[in-house]
Amino acid sequence: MTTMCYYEAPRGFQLDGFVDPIDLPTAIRVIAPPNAKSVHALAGAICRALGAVLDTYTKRNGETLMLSSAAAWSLATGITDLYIAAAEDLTRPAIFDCIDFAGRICAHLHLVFSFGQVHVHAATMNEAGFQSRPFEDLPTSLRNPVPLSVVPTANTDAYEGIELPDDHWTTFRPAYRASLPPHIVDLCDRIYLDAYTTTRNSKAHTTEEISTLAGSIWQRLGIHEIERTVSARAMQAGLFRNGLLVRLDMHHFTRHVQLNYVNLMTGAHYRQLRGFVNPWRAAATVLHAQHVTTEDTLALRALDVTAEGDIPTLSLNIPAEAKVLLAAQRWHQLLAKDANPPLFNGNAHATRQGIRAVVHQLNLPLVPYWRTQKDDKGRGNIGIKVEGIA
Amino acid sequence: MTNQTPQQRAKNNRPDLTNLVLPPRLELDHPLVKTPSFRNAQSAMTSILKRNRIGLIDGPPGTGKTTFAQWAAERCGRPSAVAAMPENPAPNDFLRVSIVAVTGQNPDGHNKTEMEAELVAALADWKGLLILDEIQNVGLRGLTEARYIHDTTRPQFPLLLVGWGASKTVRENQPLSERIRQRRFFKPLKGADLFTTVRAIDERFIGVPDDVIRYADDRYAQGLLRRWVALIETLQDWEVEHANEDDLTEAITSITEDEDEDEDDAA
Repeated sequence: MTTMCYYEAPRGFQLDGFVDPIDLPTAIRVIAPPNAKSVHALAGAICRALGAVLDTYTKRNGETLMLSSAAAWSLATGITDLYIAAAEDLTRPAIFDCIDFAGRICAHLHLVFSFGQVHVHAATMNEAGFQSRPFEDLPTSLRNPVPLSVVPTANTDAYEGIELPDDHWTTFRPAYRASLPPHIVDLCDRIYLDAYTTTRNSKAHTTEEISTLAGSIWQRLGIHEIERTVSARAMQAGLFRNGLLVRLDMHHFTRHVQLNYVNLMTGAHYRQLRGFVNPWRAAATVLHAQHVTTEDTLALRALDVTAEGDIPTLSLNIPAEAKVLLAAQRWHQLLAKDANPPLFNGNAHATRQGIRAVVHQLNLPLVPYWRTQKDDKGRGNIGIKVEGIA
Repeated sequence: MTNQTPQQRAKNNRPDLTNLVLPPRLELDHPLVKTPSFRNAQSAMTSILKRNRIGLIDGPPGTGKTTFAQWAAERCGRPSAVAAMPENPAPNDFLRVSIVAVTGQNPDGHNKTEMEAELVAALADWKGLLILDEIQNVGLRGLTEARYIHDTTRPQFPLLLVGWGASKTVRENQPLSERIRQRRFFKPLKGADLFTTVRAIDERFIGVPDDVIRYADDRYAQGLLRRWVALIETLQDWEVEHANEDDLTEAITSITEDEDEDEDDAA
């Protein structure tokens, strides 16, 4: 049972608590958009409050979709309270929209009026059954916010300007030791020896096993050009000592391994994906990062995903940050349709296009292209050839 | 596209709003003169800029409000934009013009929600001084929208509202009135301030007696800077070195005749 309350703010009350990042993770805090003719503006404000600020300009984001998205994100993130400040700016229909929305997500609704402005909607408050509460009943973090410290994220390339020598694996190590600065040589040596030892201790013999091995090494060491190339040359050396002559085409091999064996998505990347108003692209990208094929992705139904964002039918190790995205898409589909709809509406082409757009827009560490049946050129070239040493 | 009605085509072909964006720097042909109203407003800017608050400047046309706005934009030490609200604005013109002023481009959004989101996102990155001139044109609706945008951006930018009669509109909405941190009123020039200002604008008036200046002010300028500048520029065009009452009378006649002709043409 949800409750509906209204409060009157004291004179001169600032709304920082409604916009600053504070420790109220299960609450939506919005300032009522003025002059709003429909629930679209309110839904947009709620989406923004939930962090969904990307792709709000899609023409198809009509009020139904915006409201469904707002509800889906709220349900996926476990929202329990909806606080709306400057409630006097809401229209009467907008107040009933708020009641409807709060009921839809099973959250308590709190309207905060500015000083002396309760009279604007006094009749509506009585009619709808709102309870009057003293302002002090609001959480302290809303009334006297202590902003959470925001850690700036540095997005710099530590290896900028470093060019690795393009040498055959047999001469690669002497080449980089002769050409690179000492601190980079130390780093390359650590990567080289780690990858070499791991390869020597492995029993990889087939292209599949070697690709898997490369995937595990890159997952552990990173996939920047330095980690990728140095570890690949070390693997070639280690595999030679294991009795295999392995030729690598780094371009094709990198794409093959990254597409099938590596998932470098971090919590920060998944949090970036929460920026989209409509969660379908984010959810599809999560499954793509988990190496689920587009065909398998489109075969999923909404109820295949649990309310927590797990997919029991697929044995996936999905991080908690990514589960929210899948849960949001589940709720989005269930709210829009009656029965058990597909998890995604689009076809393979549209889904891939969506993933590609997301990867490019957010600069995610994923390979956003797929080899199709029509594309015969280079089909099957995974960039690796293995021969036994006679 | 061929199925569109003329109304739809007119709606989709958005006018270029860039001509409503004023340059954030002074563009004067004469020296900047700091009148008492100017100095008064200048003292308010420190608080507005330091704490990212909302300021309001009211006053009749021609008293130097826009000049002050451009001066503040030039001297604020951070990004700045001056947007003039159009007469008879469409419902979302406040958002449209503000987006153009901040981003330099027409808005991508198609409705109020989308444009609000676009402006909030742009302002969060920009963090500059936004000055909205002729704010009286957008009325209470536009002022409330401005307050909402300012509130939802944390606030991360100082906002200066400039317009004739804006104070009265603000007083109609108490939450908005409480948000205004500093209010200043630009008044027409009077007494010694008038003589000092006119002589500072053009040194050739140093030798002109007070009575002559007062005559021209009573007859035409009414203490308004804009009119005095028009008068001085007319005398400069005529290459009058030492203006007397007759020169000023002729200049006033010339200007008012031009104005009357313009009004007739418009009619």
